[in-house]
Amino acid sequence: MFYVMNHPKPEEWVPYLYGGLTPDTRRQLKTHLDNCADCRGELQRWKRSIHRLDAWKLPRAGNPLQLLAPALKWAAAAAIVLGVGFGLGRFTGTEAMAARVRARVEPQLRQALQQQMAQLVRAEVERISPAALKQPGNQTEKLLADYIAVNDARAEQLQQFCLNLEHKVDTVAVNTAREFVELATYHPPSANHPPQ
Amino acid sequence: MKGILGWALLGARTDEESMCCVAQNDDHQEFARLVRRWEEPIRRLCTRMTGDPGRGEDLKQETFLRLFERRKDYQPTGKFSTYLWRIALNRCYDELRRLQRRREILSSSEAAEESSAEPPAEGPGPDQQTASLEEGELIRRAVLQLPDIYRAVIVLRHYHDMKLAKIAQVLEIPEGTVNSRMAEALTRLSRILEPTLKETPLRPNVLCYEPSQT
Repeated sequence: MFYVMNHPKPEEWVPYLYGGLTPDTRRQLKTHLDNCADCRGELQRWKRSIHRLDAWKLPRAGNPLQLLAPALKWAAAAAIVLGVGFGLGRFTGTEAMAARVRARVEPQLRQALQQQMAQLVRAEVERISPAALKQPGNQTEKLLADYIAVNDARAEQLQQFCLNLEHKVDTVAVNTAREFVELATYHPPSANHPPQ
Repeated sequence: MKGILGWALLGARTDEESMCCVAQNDDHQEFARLVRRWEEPIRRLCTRMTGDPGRGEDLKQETFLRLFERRKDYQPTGKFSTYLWRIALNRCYDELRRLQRRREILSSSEAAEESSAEPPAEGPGPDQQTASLEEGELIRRAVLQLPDIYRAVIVLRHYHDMKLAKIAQVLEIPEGTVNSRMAEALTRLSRILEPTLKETPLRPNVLCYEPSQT
């Protein structure tokens, strides 16, 4: 009866629920609770509410990028500004810029030029190919004719040479035979005494 | 060798030691470690205090910003976590006050149309509406309906499993005041939630502290 008449203060039930009471205090409160429907009812309502608090769940931090979105927006903006500034700084030197542009453009330009050249060469070859195909035949015939002509001339010269040589040899032979005859019939004119 | 020793020390550092490095040497690496360790609990606290995940995220960022700005104020004798919870809660209170002021300005000018056109996200709404709500949303609205000081004790105790003595330290109030705020919070919460009670089963004594020796 004493316990029912003197309800504990509401805040006294808090450590009763969550711990932190001396065993004596706890036992007193328990005794009161067993005898007081009002306090028991109130404590039951508290417990029900506490139990239901679990229903409010928060999703775990899933995508860290998504969670960092507010910071990332500023980071991205800062990165763009810094990047532009850095780029401008780097390109302020004309030579450096020219070198970079050349390094970037040159391979592409070279490739394009090579392709264009190859195309032009191919077109030119196609244009002149029929004449070009005939030309070697003409030249060969001409060369062959020249060769034959030269050969004929050389043969003629050789033949003439041989004839000349034969003529000269004949001349020498005739002269030599004549001189042999003269020599055999030779008598010296100044001899007084004929041999006996 | 020095690196290995450094890594060993880094792994063994407490939050308090890390915060001392931040306070004394502006150690960004240690600050990053503290952020990684604490960002999720702080985000959840701020989300529960404001009822809005986006706002919770923003407040988390502001909390760590404030922590770094006020790094010199940190007293190594105190627990780092207490210091951090306090900063976060103060950020939440500031934000809630700001929202409250904005609501008051709105309600003083064009209250009627605004409130009828779009029910406030943080209010529970009429009973017939709340009855059809999902339990999680219903609880969220009920918690948000509590005044800030009562909501704080509920959130810290139930969603962060903080002991009453620790709550007293964080809020810088006597433990008796924590108990009275908690009692008031539970009474108000029950008043809000009991009418919406459907057939939620109650597990007896599941939440009641039972010491080992009785």
